[in-house]
Amino acid sequence: MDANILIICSQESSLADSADMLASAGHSADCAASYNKAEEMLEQKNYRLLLVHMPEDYADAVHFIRNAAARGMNIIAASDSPSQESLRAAVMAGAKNYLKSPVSASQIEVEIKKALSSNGNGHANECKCSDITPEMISRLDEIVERNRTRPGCLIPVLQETQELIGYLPVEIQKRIAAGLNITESEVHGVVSFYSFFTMKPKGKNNVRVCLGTACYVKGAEEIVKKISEELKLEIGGMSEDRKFSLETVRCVGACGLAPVVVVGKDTLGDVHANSIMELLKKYD
Amino acid sequence: MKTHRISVMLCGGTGCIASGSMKLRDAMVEEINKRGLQDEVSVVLTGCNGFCAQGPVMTIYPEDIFYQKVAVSDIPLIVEEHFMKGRPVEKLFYKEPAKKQTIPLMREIPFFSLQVLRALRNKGMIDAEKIEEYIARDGYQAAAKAITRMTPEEIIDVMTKSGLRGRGGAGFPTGRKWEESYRVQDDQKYILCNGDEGDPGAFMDRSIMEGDPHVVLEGMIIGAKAIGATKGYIYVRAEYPLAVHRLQVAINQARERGLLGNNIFGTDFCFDIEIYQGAGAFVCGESTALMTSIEGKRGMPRTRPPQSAHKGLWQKPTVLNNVETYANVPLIILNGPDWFRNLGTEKSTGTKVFALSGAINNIGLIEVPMGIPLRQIIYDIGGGVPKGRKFKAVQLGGPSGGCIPEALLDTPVTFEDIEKTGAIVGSGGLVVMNDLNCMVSVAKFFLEFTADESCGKCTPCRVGTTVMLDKLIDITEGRGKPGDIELIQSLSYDIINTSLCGLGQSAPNPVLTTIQYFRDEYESHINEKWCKTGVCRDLCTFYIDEQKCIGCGACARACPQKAITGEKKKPHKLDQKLCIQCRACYETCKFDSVKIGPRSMREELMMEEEKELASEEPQTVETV
Repeated sequence: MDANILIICSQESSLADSADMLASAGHSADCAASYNKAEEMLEQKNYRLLLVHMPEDYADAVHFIRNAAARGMNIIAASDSPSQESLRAAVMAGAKNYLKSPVSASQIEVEIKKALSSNGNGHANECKCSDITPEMISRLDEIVERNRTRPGCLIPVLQETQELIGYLPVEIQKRIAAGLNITESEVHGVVSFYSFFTMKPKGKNNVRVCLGTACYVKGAEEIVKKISEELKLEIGGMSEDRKFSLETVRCVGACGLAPVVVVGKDTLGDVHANSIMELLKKYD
Repeated sequence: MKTHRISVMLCGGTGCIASGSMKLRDAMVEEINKRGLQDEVSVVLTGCNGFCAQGPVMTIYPEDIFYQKVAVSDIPLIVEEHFMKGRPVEKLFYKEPAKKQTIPLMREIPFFSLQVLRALRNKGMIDAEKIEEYIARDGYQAAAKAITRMTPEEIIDVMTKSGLRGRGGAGFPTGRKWEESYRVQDDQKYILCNGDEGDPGAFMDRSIMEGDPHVVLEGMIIGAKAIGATKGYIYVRAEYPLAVHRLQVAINQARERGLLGNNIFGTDFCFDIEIYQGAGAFVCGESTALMTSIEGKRGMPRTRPPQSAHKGLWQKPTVLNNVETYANVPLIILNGPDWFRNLGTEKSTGTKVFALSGAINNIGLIEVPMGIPLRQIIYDIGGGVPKGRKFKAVQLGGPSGGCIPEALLDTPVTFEDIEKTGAIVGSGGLVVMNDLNCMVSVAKFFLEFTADESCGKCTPCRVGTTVMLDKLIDITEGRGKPGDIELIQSLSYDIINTSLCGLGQSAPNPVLTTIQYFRDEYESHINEKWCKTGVCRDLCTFYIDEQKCIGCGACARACPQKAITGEKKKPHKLDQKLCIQCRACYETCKFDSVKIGPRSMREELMMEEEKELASEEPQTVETV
């Protein structure tokens, strides 16, 4: 079975050992002696599993792992002289596991099985967010880079990223976590805590119905119902043609105009369930 | 400097912008240029004027003429008649709803004339994006005084004597808060501004941040000097993009002029402010949650002590005040504590800004002396309940507050008196409910809010509010049982007593106050399965009182189901099988002939309908 394994190791001898070991287990593997070479190979071929050797000075290896993890790769780090620091660095950067080398055949067997049972490889992951362009990714990296030394930067980074991409899918959260050197759970914890952040893509026109007290007593609920019936979408959902998405929000502070609906950046006041669909026609 | 004969103060608050004031400005400038009046008339886009419901609004100086609901098509008329010929346009004047008379001058409109503007003193008077205009109205004089001529002790002393209490909800004395932080020795202290105005129905902080951003900065500068802070953050809700923009403009201008940064006013005092945008979590209005949010984490409250004054943001001594509190600070420093105390009561000094909304004629922002009775706010300033509806309750303090009934409308608005009713002054959201509102549903609405916004840290709040909400949903959908009210009450006290932060401790307030003052509504929901307002669809039957119906047909036209039929000028009939309980007929009828009965009536009426149908059939056979 061709498991598509890539071994990355800066020491030629270890490289040969690992390749021999895999061959004895019945797997063919490609080898790269430098990170640059490995990056090139990743461009050309789909790998299921990357085995990255962590030398004593592991800074470059961590950098490589972070980039590869951001592409959704399955990465195993291995080290001759395991240490807490290098383990932490590797896992934070996105390695799925950390083993002591030489890695035994049975260990690699387990990892291959895990890799095969996980949902596809990195490229498949990226396909899930087809609307995210490489340009966006590079701008995201810029945002992370610009903010990473600032204390408390996670929320501003997420805000800027959402502004850029429109939403915060798991893949993007992982990339931010790797970039800021914090855990994915920390990022996800913040994203799921604040209602401003969304993990679902939004329609071209995001319709936000205010459910503040003033709007509520003037029939905002009816408006929500009407929109979700007419456009066949749920709160938090997007219409099939991707033109509209629907959200409810806490008081937008325009109670004088209640009930209020915000479409994109426009605030519509004095809306009624009977008039909302007519008003939405203007947005295409 | 150019002087203009006429100044047009066009409201650029969020409400008026939504009603089209940007287009108005462009049209006005164009028209003025066309007529060659550009040297005589100046057009200024100001912050929120406060009279949001009448927007877009503008005030023309020097006469103080107030125009409301201005359309682009009115602009040529205003320029020609008013600016050129000196005849103000009458059709745009304010019309008093009760007496139906028009009032041309802003200062004579009751909505404005009964107000005392302190925190909102610059509303509608200045261009929020020009620091010169703020300075021209004595801006930054108080900061200069505090920084160059006062010691921190003196500032704190003035604040303490003024009796100013926090305007964000809790009402903690500002002077004491500052003093505590001042006494802590540390190399780094922070001063924060809470602009996370989360209460639904409150928009005063938004208005101040958008309309007069420099006053917030000035208040913070004075506070920083008092406690020895070198860094400040303004925490603003993500829902307020205009406020963020205007504050940023103000900060940049203040930095350019050396009012922020190093060696302010040539002293060794250094201080700078940064804006931090919230991300939509109600709990972040709580002080410790707000600080953890600035640290970039989930905004969850923490146990106290240590108090924030000792260990707050990044474990450093921190003071947090509300936007409106800061807006009061410069005036107190300039005019002294006694001047501030001349309004209000012994324990609640000064003025308070309220946001009037809901079932009230004059929706908008007002500032009144503390101690004014609620009735005066609602009827004299607010103009009462529109469309001849009856006042039912006023909700004060948002999800942490409560509903105050008609009988208690003479309660003076002070921290102590309002608290006695079970509500709180809170941030000042004042939502009026009329007889169309079901109080059980209102309680349910607020509980939905708090159950959703509970951060999840404390079990009583996380689970307790959800259980209470389930009970209320049961009651509004007809599954209420005797004993539910008592269960809700006892659960409420558990939540209040065992929650860590203000959110949990106050979450049951809307439920408790509605039970206290409108217990009969809960009882009729539970025992008779009858929502007398027709809001809870499962608990009502709409029918037409044939004695009262004059057959105008208004209800039939309003009915989306075409369930109402009848000949003109003869009593109409409502088909129960078609009725979806949308209440449109009830709201439309001007003759009080659409009635609401208990749920059980529906079946009875349906049986009657069938009987009638059965007895009619033979007749039709005969005629054929």
